[in-house]
Amino acid sequence: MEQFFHILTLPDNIPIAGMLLLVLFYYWLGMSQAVKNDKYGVNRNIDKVHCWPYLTRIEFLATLLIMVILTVWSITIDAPLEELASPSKTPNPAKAPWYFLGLQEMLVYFDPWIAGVILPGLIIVGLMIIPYIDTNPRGGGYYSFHQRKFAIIVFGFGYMLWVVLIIIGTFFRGPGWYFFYPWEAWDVHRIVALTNVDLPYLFGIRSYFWSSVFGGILVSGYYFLGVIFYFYLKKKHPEFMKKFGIIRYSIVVFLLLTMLALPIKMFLRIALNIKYVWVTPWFNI
Amino acid sequence: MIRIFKQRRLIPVEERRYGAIFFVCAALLTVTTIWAVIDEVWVRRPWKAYQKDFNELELQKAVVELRNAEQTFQSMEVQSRYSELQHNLQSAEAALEDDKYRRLTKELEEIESHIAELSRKLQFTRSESDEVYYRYKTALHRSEKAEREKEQLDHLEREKEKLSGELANAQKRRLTLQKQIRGFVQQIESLRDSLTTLRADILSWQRKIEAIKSRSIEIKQIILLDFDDNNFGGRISRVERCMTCHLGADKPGFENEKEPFTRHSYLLDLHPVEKFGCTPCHGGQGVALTARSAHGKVEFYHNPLLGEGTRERLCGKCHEDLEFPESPTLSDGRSLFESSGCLGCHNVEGYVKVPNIGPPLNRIAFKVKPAWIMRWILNPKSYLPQTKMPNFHSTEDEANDVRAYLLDASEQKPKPQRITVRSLDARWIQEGETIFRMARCISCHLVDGKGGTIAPDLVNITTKVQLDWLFDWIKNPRAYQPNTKMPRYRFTDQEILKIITYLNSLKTSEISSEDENFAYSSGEVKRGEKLVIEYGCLGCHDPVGQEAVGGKVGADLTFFGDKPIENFDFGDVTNISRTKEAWILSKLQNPRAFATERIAQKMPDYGFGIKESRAFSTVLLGFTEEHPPEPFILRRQPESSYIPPGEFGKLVTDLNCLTCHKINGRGGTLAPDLSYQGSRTNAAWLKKFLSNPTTLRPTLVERMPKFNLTDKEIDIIINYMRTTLVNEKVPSEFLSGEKFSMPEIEQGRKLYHEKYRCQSCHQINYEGGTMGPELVSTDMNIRERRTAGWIFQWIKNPKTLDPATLEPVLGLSDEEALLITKYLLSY
Repeated sequence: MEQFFHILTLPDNIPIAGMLLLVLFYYWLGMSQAVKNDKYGVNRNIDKVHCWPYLTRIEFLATLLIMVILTVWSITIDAPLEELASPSKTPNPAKAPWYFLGLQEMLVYFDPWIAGVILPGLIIVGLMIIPYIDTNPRGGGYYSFHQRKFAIIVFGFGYMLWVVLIIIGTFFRGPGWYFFYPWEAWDVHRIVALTNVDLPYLFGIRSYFWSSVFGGILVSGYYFLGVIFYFYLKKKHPEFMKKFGIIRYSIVVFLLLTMLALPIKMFLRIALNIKYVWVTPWFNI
Repeated sequence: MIRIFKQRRLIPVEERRYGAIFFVCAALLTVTTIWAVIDEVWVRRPWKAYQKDFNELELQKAVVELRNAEQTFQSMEVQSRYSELQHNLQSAEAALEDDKYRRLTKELEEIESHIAELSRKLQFTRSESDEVYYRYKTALHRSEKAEREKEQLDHLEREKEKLSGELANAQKRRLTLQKQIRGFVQQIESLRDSLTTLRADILSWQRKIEAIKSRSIEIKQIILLDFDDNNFGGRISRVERCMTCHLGADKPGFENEKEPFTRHSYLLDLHPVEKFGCTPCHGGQGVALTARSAHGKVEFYHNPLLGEGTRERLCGKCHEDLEFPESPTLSDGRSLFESSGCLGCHNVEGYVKVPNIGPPLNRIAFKVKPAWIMRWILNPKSYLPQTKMPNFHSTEDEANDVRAYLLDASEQKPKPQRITVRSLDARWIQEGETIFRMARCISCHLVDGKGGTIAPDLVNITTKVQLDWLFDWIKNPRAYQPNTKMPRYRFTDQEILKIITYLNSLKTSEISSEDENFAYSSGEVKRGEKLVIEYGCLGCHDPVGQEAVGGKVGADLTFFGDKPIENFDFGDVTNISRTKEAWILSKLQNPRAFATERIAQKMPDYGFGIKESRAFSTVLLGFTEEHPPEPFILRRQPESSYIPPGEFGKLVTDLNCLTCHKINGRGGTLAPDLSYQGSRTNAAWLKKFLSNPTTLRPTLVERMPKFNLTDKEIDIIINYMRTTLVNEKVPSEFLSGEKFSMPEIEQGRKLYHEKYRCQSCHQINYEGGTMGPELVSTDMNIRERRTAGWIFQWIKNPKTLDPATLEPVLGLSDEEALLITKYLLSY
């Protein structure tokens, strides 16, 4: 556990640990409000109070408190100075800062083009178009779970996925980017045999062309599930789907399926030692 | 707690009171801000505390000194002198009360004001005169009447004259007055000065105390300009702040204080801090201001402060010399490094070039018996314990292959031997021994554990070499090895055979029967060549039969000191600590300790012990990338390039005189320096000596070998010495043909025996000490040996003729030296 505590108390990791706790706290705060609102109902015409001074004084207090915390923090913990940069000595493991560790961990499962360009791009684009695809009129201005089930579940899942990736990247990855349990000491000489094969190979396909075709069929079949689901939804909730529209639906289902592809791929990789599902000369998934 | 929260929730937002919370938070903020300020100004700057302590310490010392100075001042003699001076001063000052003085000063005052008045008047008159002159001239030019102006002008001119005269008088009077007054005052000034001198010490200490008290606490730094390299080929400066805490390092009086105020050793006086800084010798982070980081004891710092026993490492960065007494370990390490031939296999960029340490093998087949080669390669130390050749732990097959290669590549092949052991007559042993002793072979060779070590041990030599070769060698060594140190004795063939017989009688072991027609296959030769190249034999021996193969077989050591510990391969060894020093000590004592099944180690075993390994560690860990700028580096002094010319030079080469003697800075130190031999010795004695050398000092066993030189050769030597190897300070033809009188000799004797007691080191007729050479004995006489001029100059001041001599400089006058010389020459 020595390694674990060492990482946890590194000066640049202390904010993440603190932030994680804060995130959990705020999630609990929101959800507890949501539960209460769902139980007792929400009255839009409840009493209002003025922002000034009743909100601003609380904000001012918060400012004071944060200044105190920051001052104490800066007195007691100094920024770390690591080794002299030397072109002939590469640190092992060479880890990105925590906000990119999720991406670095994703690199294990996808090739750099997908993990470094496509997926982060989709994350950003997805976040940007939330206002346009979220047509739910309910649940605005107050916490509620029942009225925003889909949004909360999907977003919560995505967020949790991101955080899990970061945690794995911080605590569970050691030299050589091998998997180390937190109680294992990091050994720079460790060698683990990696015997991953592509999925088409498992099915006995040996030629590159047919592997490509196989993968292509598989991936398009995966997204085709979304198409099928469209028709199912149209039958189940026709008015909603008419309002929602096919464009919105396609975008949402595309993003959702892509997001779900990550845990699916993680499972394939860890449990079944599968490297790539679809190999093409331009990218591999 | 939660209840308080719940109760607060019941109060409407507008009525909730936040006053208490605000107060607490504001108080917290104030406290933390003050804490931050204290932390920043004081806690994080421990050097301030150190400086304060140091200032107090220095103040204490200064106060003590001040007390001492005051006490000396209070002592009887100083006090009496002081009061005497004060008394004089008082009377002198009293004289000032004299009327005369008063009058003089008063008159001076009046004169001064009078002069001022006169000057003013003169000035005004001048101006008026100028004005009138203008008017006058203008009137003239306008052809108007100008008499009135002319009149005025003349009047004013007369005024001017008068005033100038008066002014001059007044100034003269003032001068006289001033001189008179000065006479009074001068004495007072000098008395006052004497008084201050008596109190000078006290005043200076008081001033020092003021200075210490008014010192400000500040960072002290030194900037060494252009000291380091940056990564782009330029130079950057190095900043050192060690003096901020180590304030007593260069101050006398702080030798016994505890760190960080302790005074540095004398080495700091040789390397002043302003020029050299601290980190070039000690390591550490010069820019840091806390003890831990300045000493480099932080994670990842590559060059922490050198600890006990490792401080000599960095001396070598500037001092290229082989021997310097302040770093004994480094000097030892370097000598070992160069003499063991490390540079033959390991490259060190920028290190002085060292020639190959092993003998040439290009004609080995002619010299050596094949069975001996095998024995040698398998275990060199079993034949010659002091050899430098390491043990390669070869298998029998490998040794055989190498032998095959060497014999095959040899330029000269063995021929059927003319001389065999059987052909040696046993009766020659005795005569051979006599010749051997006369020739003083053991000056250089070891026989029976006794003798010199610059040449091989001769005990088993006849088991090693072909006897034909031995014969040719003794007859003319240069023919086989041109750069050998062995001289060419002028033996006859018979004498050489007798010597060989004697040597043969000394052997303690027998290898095998003489193996003529030793055979080897081409397969063995090929394998042997590969082995020779692979194991780096060419690192010590000159190439045998092939071109020198480029590149050295060992690891490059140029930046060995910078190698991180992770890059050191410890193999499967787990019982030594994981430090560089431990690795080096283990490696040098057992070079193949770190070999594993997959990684072989080629370095052979030199038999180094722990002491040698430590010396090596100092040298090797000093090989880092950091290097001081060129002006700091003391390059190794090149050996003198003196080459004796002409016929003399040929003789010197033939006899290898410079193996033992030094001439003009070149040569060995086993025998006297001959640079001034012409002025030193008499030609007649030299001739006798060279024909038949004798022992020259009572305590010495060694003497020069008998080379059987011809008269002609001796003459060449003597002529060269007398004409070229002279010292200007020695008067030539001194006292030649003079007769000495008895009184002079008697005076000389008295000086010798009673005043200067020369007999404490020198012997005359077996009476006296044995530190120096005997001056007169039955078979040796200084009159014969030394020139009179040399004796005279030597007695006067030996160090002008030999700076390293033990003879003391007694400061004799010319007269005394002459008398002693005459006394000595009278024997």
